[in-house]
Amino acid sequence: MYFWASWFDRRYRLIVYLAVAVALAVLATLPAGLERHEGRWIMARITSPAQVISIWHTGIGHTLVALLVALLFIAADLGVLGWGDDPERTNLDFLMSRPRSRSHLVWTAWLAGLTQLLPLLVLPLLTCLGILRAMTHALLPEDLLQLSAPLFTMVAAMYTLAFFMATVTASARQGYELAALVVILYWGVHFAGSRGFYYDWDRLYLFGAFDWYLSPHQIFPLANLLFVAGVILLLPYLAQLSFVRRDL
Amino acid sequence: MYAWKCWHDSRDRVILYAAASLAIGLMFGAIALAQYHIFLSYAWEWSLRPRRWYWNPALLAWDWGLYLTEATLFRAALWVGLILGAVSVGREYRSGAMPFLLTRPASRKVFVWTDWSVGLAQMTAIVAMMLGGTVSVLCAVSTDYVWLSFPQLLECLLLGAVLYGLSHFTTALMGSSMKGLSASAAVILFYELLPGAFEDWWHLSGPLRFRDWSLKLWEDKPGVNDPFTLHGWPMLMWLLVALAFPLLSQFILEWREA
Repeated sequence: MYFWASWFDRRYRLIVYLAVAVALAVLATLPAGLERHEGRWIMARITSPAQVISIWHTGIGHTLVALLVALLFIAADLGVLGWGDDPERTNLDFLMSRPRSRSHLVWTAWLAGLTQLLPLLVLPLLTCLGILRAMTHALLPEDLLQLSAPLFTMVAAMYTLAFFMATVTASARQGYELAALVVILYWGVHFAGSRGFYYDWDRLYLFGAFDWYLSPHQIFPLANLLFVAGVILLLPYLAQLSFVRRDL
Repeated sequence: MYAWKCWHDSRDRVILYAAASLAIGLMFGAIALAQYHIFLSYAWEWSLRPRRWYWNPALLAWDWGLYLTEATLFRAALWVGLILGAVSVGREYRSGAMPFLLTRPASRKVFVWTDWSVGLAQMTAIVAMMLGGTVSVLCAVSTDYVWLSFPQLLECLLLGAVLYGLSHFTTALMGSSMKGLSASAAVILFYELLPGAFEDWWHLSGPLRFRDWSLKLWEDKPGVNDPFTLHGWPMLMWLLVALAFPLLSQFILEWREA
């Protein structure tokens, strides 16, 4: 019941986010198959299989970059609002009076937010696939499928970090601040350890965001992905420990 | 009276930020000072050879220190501006004090502008602390180049005031500091990233050119007598934007029921 209440409470926010994500996917995908001709955009004429591959590669690259930025922001927002906005926190008192354990509520709130991220990822990706299919009359979704799992993992990690911070601090805003601080510190350390900072929209993997997950130097294939997934599951558990002991 | 309340409610955070800002500034100053001594040893070696250009270790140390500060100062202004803007009006909503506040015998305009002014002064103090920390250490090297820090401070204060005003306005609009913060972050993300994306995807260079023009408030381009050039038009634009936000917040609060 609480699961559906979480969905219901955030329905308008989700609709707006979904509209933004789909619009970004359309804006990012369309130019891959269009050409500028005498000041107007026209559909590119397909002359070779290599051109089809190039259109798919460009379209998928643009879409993933746009979705990565948008979804990380959305995930942080949904994560800190896992227990509602600060002025509406009195709802929590009512929630605690229900015959449900606190651990059940923590995991339900976390899971509700996580499932809300799924349509935000899947629908724009399907839009991208549909547009590229219509433009090229071919279906080459391998890159997209291969990178969807790391993309969702990063988004889920951001969401869980924000949810954890908001639960521990008992405040959406403070959770947002702390999650942002962790991201900035992580970025700073990463920046200090790297040779430079890339700001290149042509690059398929924004700032090398996917490199670590696709690296051939792993303990076993997908080890890094599973490691982050483990951390994602650990954080709600720690949030549960904090929430169960709190005097509300 | 309300100015005192604003200060009282936010002083813990402001003191923490100011102390952290000062510590970072002093650290940058210490790094630049260490670099100065390295430059001095180079200068000694260089002096043994025929000189090819004028070597000024003090100026190099100042450049080094200000380069370090420049990279951090704007991010600090961004952070402080957003957070202080979100906790200003948002604090009253969160504590449930807003309906009570609006029953006081003072106009809503006074509340908005007092709140905004106190927050702006706090942000100025925090940003100045970082630069002050670096400059105070570098003054041990030479006091001739203090004015080199002027354009950085001006840029960060102006853009910080805009970000603070944006966050203040979105918080007043949404009636929640969390939602205000989130909306401000979205606006900044769009402003920073979307022009580059449009240029790359659709070959629309106008938004990117405008963004680059608007964010270039000064440049290290020595003139006849000046070591840098200030760009007046983008500064004027941001000044107007910074002043427009509290005005919009005022309209929002005056039109709202409570």
